[in-house]
Formats: sequence, C-alpha cells, structure tokens
Amino acid sequence: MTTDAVPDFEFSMMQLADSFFPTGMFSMSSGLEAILYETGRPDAAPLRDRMPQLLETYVTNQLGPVDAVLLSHAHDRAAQNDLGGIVEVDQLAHAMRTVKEARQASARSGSQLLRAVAALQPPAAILTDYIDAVRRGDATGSFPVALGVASQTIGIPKEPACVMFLYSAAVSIVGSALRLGLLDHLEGQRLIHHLATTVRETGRRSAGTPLAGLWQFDPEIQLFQIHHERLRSKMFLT
Amino acid sequence: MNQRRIPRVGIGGPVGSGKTMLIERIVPLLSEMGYRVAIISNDVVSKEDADRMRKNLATERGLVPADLVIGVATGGCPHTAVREDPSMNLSVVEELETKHPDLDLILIESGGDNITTTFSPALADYFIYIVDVSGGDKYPRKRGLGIENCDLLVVNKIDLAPYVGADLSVMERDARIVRGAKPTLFVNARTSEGVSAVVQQIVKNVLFDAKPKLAA
Ligand SMILES: Nc1nc2c(ncn2[C@@H]2O[C@H](COP(=O)(O)OP(=O)(O)OP(=O)(O)O)[C@@H](O)[C@H]2O)c(=O)[nH]1
Ligand SMILES: [Mg+2]
Repeated sequence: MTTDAVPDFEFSMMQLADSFFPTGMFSMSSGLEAILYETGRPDAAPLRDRMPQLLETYVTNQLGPVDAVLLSHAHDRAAQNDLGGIVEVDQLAHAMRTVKEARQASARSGSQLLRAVAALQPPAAILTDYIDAVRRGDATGSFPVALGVASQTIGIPKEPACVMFLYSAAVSIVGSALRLGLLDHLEGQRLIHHLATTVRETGRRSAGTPLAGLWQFDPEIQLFQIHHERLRSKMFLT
Repeated sequence: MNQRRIPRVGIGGPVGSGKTMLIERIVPLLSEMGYRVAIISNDVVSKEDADRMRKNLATERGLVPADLVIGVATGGCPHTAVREDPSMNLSVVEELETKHPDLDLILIESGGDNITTTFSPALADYFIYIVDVSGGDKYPRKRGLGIENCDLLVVNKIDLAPYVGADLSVMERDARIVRGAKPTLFVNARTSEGVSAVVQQIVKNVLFDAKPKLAA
C-alpha cells in the first residue's frame, strides 16, 4: 500500500460522496418513510408527485441552513486546529436534533465516517483529537460536524465540502424513496439531475453563513421525522 | 487494535431459518456458565425480533439487562448492514464496549437474507450461518458464500425433515464436501436439541475457554 500519493480534492470528493463510502446512510430515510406511511397509503401517487418539491425543501430549508452551515464551521475550526471550537459546534449540532433516533443515527454515522477517513491515510492531528474527544464522550461525532472536520483534513475546501454533503444527503433520500417504492430508478436520477442548481447555490450560501445565522423551516418534514420514531414497523433508522 | 474488544459472533441466514430462536437458546446456556452477553438484532422491517428477545431473555428471565438487547434497522439492505457498510453495527458495538467493558460476548443477528450473506471481518470475529431443512436438503451443496465461508454451519428444524423429505445424511455429506473440515451442526432450536454443541463451539473457538470476566 502506498501512502505518499495524496489524491486531489476532486477525487476525494467523489470518494466521500459515493454511496459506497461506509457511513450507514443507506439505513436512513430522513422521515420519508413516516411520510409514506402516514400520507401515502394506500395511494402513493400524490406523494410521488410531491417528491421534487419535498426534496428541494429538504435541501433548502433543512440540510442547507442547518447541517451544511454546521459543517462549514466545523471545517473552519479544523483549519485552525481548534478542537474546543469543533466540540462546541458538535454539541450545537447534537442539541439541534430534537428527535432522539435522528440524533443517535447522526452520531453513529458521523463517528464511523471519522474512522473511515482516518483509515485512508495517516490522519491529521486534529482528526485524531476529535475522534478521541468522541471516544471520551466529550463530543458526539454528529455527522455534519464529522464531515466538516474530515473534509478539511483531507484537503476538500469548505464550499465544495458543503456541496458534496448536500449532494450525498439528497442522493441518500432519493435512494430511500426508491426502496420505499416511491420512484423508479430513472425518476430518481432525474430528480437528482434537476437538483444541481439548488445544491450548488445552497452549498455556496451555507459556506458563508455565520453560526448565529442557523435557521430551519420545514415544519411538515420535521413533524414526520418525529413521527418516524413511533412507527411500529419500519425499514429505516430515521 | 482495540484492547477492550469484546468478542463478537455474527449469526446470518435466510428469513425465518431460526436465527432469533437460536440466540434465545444459546444465551441461557452461556448465562448459566457465567458469561455476560449482549445482543444486536438487525431487523428487516421492525424491531420485532429485538422486542421478542428483550421480553424472553431480559424481562421474563432476567438473563440479560434489557438495554443490552439492541435493534438496528437496515433500510431494506440487511446484507449491506453487516458486510459492505457495517458502520451502524460497529457504532453500537463500540458503545457497548465503552459502557459495558465487562461483557464477555456480543451476538449480532443479521436480517434474514439470501445464501450469499457474509459478515464483514471488521464486525464479527466468528460467523455462524443457519439454514433450516424446510428448503430441502439441497442447501449445503448449492454452496453460496454464507454456507461455504461460515465458521460454523447450523442446520435447524431437523424435526421437520420427514415432512419435507429432507435427508439429513445428504446434507451432512454435502456440507463436508463444500466446507472441508469446518464444522456443521444439526439442531432443533424449538426443543434445544443440539444447541449445547453450538455453545461448545462458541466457548472453544470464540472465547478460547476463557473464564467469564466477572468471575476471573
Ligand atoms: N419446527 C421447528 N420450528 C422452528 C425451529 N426453530 C425455529 N422455529 C420456528 O421458526 C420460526 C422462525 O424462527 P425465528 O427464530 O424467528 O427465525 P429468524 O431466522 O430469526 O427469522 P427472521 O429474523 O425473521 O429472518 C418461528 O416460528 C420458530 O418458532 C425448529 O427447530 N423447529
Ligand atoms: Mg430473527
């Protein structure tokens, strides 16, 4: 194994954004499963028609203004080798997830993402420090924060990291829609294709938003994310 | 390597082959010997198996603390969750290792799946694959990565063999051809027949005959 050839950041982005990269994302639906159970049975056709708008709302009103902003601040703190700052953003991320199962899933996938990135090449000191903080219980390893720190330490700049996050989060939601039988494979790809501008612009905005500028407005999706926790029978973790 | 690593046994097999029931039979025997066990159950569509084991092993018999039976949903991809991307399971394992360092063993049930399932070596140290006879006696010779690669093959529901015309001696012979020297055991998980031999394999090959941590 060679460790001296460090890939350029575009290659690293492709690797991290790939759904094959092991972060457990395949087991989450971000509330879509609850939306299907509570509004899409027995006739899922109206929900299928709403998918483009729903996906857009996920990106512009939740993943962008909250998660991607947290990611970008974790990225900044990692660049300054500021573990205390990372832990603060991590705790904020954890506190902003009001649903227990979502909070737990985020911490679990984030901490495994850190392990996976640390295994790629000799890890930067700040990455190791953050992993140790998670292990000690001082931080949770919340997914967007973990991705911010991980991206910075392997050379992915802040704005591309935000875009990459939004892209893979949207792909993961589309993937769950496919497995829930809401879309076929071509509809799924078309949805992703049409998100290009939204993802890019939301990513740019998130990378420039101050921590005090976090916001979220998607009451319907959030209510379903809360309901998901109470579903009796479910395929997805969230 | 993690020094607090608790040995882990992965149990895979087709839907309904008896994975949960085997665990329900194994745990009391291990617990009688003083071993402390936690269970992670990867359910395909619900937490039913985790709830059932919690009721049968924790609530009613007190053999396992209720919080040590943990259900994990797999997004409809049971094989991914234990093979290509075991992240969620690994996180749960690490949480157990941190919070309960005195555990002797973690049993991980995979969601019911096809015969090509295997466990990631990063997740399980020992892999038990369980089939039942009701699919016919062809299974061992059909191979499949699960049957070929597992450390221990368990053929369950031997009580049903006469009803489906399955010949256990054919299964035993084919298993030997496909698996070489690796063991195959025949059990009836409903009556516990043959289950103590499964426990012996675990104690010998996973725990290496170590005394229970709390007794040592
Ligand atoms: N006759 C007979 N029935 C059995 C035996 N072992 C299990 N069963 C029954 O088979 C059914 C399935 O057993 P489970 O333990 O739930 O199987 P599983 O592999 O965990 O199933 P999934 O997790 O849903 O894939 C149950 O109704 C059991 O009572 C056996 O040895 N003989
Ligand atoms: Mg089961």
